[in-house]
Amino acid sequence: MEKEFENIGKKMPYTVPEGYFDAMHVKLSAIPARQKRVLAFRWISAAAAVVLVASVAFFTFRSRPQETLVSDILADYEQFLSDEELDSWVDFSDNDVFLDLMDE
Amino acid sequence: MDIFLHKRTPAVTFEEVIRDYEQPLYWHIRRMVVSHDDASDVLQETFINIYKGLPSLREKAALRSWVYRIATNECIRFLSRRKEQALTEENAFLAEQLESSPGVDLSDGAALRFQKALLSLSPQQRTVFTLRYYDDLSYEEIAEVTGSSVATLKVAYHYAKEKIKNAIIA
Repeated sequence: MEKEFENIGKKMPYTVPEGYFDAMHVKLSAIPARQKRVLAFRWISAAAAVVLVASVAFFTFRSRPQETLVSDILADYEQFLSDEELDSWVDFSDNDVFLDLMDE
Repeated sequence: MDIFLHKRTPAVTFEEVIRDYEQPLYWHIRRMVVSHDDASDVLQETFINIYKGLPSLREKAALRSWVYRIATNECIRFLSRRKEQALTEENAFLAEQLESSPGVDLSDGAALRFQKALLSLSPQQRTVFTLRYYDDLSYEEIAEVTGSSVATLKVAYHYAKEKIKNAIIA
């Protein structure tokens, strides 16, 4: 203790309500159980989010057969091609050696 | 497989920390934030962080400085939420709270003056002074709490003491 402050010592003007520390002890002791609940809730939320995303993806892609999907994409693509581009595409397909080999 | 089954026993249990440090940490926080309600909130946050970090505490000997470091960091974080205020305004706000908030005995003039003088210090100086004066932490322990060197802390404590002495006399 500093001798300059001997007359005051460790006295403080602060007070706490009656029974405060007993009530706080109960609150603090409940922290482990509360934290476990918070952690469990986070895991459940994360798992639910994964299941939701997987379900949305599954039902979205399952409802459209793959062939339809590819032909739709090609149809969309063809709309943007000019006549000259379409002709050169057809020429290219006719002269494709790999396609010819596959036909044979 | 053993690695999944093995759970390291903490150096000290959470219940022991509550038993030994609930009151000292409350008073440390109260001296820093003044209001009883704010001190209660900061104390609970402190113990949540203690609970989370306890498994990583390796030595029981380091417990005291470790829990005070967590509490001090929580106090600084709490005070810095009002950072837009200048330091003098912040100190004036705390001094005003000292006289207006419930849970302060206004009849003890000397103790009130002393706390007011304490609140004229910067949060860093107040931390050093209260940890040394009220909580009897060694300079080495305070160095672990604050991350400052022992020499710096000795100087800070000396200046804080002089400032308090002058504030009480004035």
